[in-house]
Amino acid sequence: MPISDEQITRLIYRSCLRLDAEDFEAYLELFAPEFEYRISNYSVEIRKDQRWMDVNQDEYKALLESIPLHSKPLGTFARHANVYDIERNGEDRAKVTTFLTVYYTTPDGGTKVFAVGKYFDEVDISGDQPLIADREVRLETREVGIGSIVPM
Amino acid sequence: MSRNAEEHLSPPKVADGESYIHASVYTDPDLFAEEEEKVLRRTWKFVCHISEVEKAGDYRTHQWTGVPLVTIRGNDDKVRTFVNTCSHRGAKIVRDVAGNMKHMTCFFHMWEYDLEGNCTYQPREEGYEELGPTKDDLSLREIRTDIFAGLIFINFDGNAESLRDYIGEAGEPFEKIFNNHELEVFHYNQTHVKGNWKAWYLTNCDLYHEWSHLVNRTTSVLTKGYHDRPWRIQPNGHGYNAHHLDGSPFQVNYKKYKSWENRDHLVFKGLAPGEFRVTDIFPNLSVFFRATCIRLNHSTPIAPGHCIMEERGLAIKGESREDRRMRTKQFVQIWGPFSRNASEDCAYVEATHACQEAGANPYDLMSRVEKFEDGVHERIHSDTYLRHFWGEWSRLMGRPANNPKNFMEAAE
Repeated sequence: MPISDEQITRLIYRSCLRLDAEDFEAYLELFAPEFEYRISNYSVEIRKDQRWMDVNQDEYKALLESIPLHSKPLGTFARHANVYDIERNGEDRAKVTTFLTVYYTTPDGGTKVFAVGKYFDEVDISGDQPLIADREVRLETREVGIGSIVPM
Repeated sequence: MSRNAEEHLSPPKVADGESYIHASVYTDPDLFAEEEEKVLRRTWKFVCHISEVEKAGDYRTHQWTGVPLVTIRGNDDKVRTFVNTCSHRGAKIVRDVAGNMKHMTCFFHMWEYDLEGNCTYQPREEGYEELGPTKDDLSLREIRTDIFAGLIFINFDGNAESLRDYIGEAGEPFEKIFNNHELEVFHYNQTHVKGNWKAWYLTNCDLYHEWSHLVNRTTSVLTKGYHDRPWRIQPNGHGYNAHHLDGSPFQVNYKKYKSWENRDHLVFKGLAPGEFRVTDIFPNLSVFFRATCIRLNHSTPIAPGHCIMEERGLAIKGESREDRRMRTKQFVQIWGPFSRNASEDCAYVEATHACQEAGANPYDLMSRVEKFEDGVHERIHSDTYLRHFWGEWSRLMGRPANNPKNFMEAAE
């Protein structure tokens, strides 16, 4: 049975919920083997595209596992996503464009917008369940405060 | 046993009075204003890399001590910096951060300036014939600009020594390597840090804090030879650590961090695989090498508790897409807003400032001394560079950093 748009949409939203919960093991279950993950933007200062994170499956897994050992922001991140477009590319792949807003709630309870951007995902729809095969987080926001080791 | 208020406010019990500072140097508005005049406008300040203004008309806007500036390459290939305000009503002329233009046009009344700063056009200029001034009297104010190893610097002080003399031997760890390649900026990030600009800079100079970075702890601090590097103190407040005392390079073992590879490919000519160096140029530029990556880091002071930290990554111009991707990956593992180190550094500075601003921590200690057996050179976890920085700051300010406003005398 072909993968529906609803299943693809749910996959994207689940990736947000699991990352919000910092349930990294469950989050990684949503990705296909050999996936790649990038955070990118266009810098008006140097007039170039640039990447602020570029990892493969093993590197991403190791990064997520190491987060508790690093000094990370003490507050919490919450992602609001809206799937704008699903474009099928044959029976095996779908390109998904999702608008993303990331909020940061400080330890004392204040909340601010941390970043806005889009997920550009390539989803593997060849199996029983859709899986993210490639994710580019394309940020509009270029000033993200002290930053974060937790990916977007 | 805990300390009471009097004990807490008393100067630290150290043998040398220059081995601590008073926290007001980070928080006091009067000192900040005075510092702009006596330190920041009288020393050479890094602006950007030469690749950012590569062609005639390429520009980069910025500000220093609140003054809006534009650095631009002229048709004669010379890089100049102008105060970025129109001679007419004072509106900011160039409003974009970066770009290319044939001339500078003020959007308010359409006055134009050429790339050399001459006023070249006023709509219906005959209206100034009776009272003046003429266009010749209205050129832009130029700020002294010079280039060292592809790094563009400015100085508000027209009488200051030359940039080359100012940097002196402190350029030794990076000048030759920068000149071995044609470099370009491939990474840029700026962050508004809730902390003082000096605290940010000194985080780059306090290598003792590397204990707290998981990356440094794993790949460097616990490895053999890590502590066998001396600080090399240089005139004008500069310093660097680049080699072991015997002259051999310090090589970081990146493979010790899970999933990372060693940095023995794409190494800049003149460096050893995995080699680490850092050079600190007073008042606030740090030049880092991590074998395959070069980082330029400085900040723009906005207020006592606010600075804009900027970091740039340099790569070899014209390298293959694969090489650039690998270099970028390795750069953003450690630096950049989603990296393992830079974000942690920002957190350290902000946490410190929050306490200093409240007066909770009146003094900042810099009394670590770890000497080599020669009794002269100090190892990298010594605070020798911090003491050197504050010595230069005190000299320029005409005030001791450990008691800049006579707080202790006033308390008595």
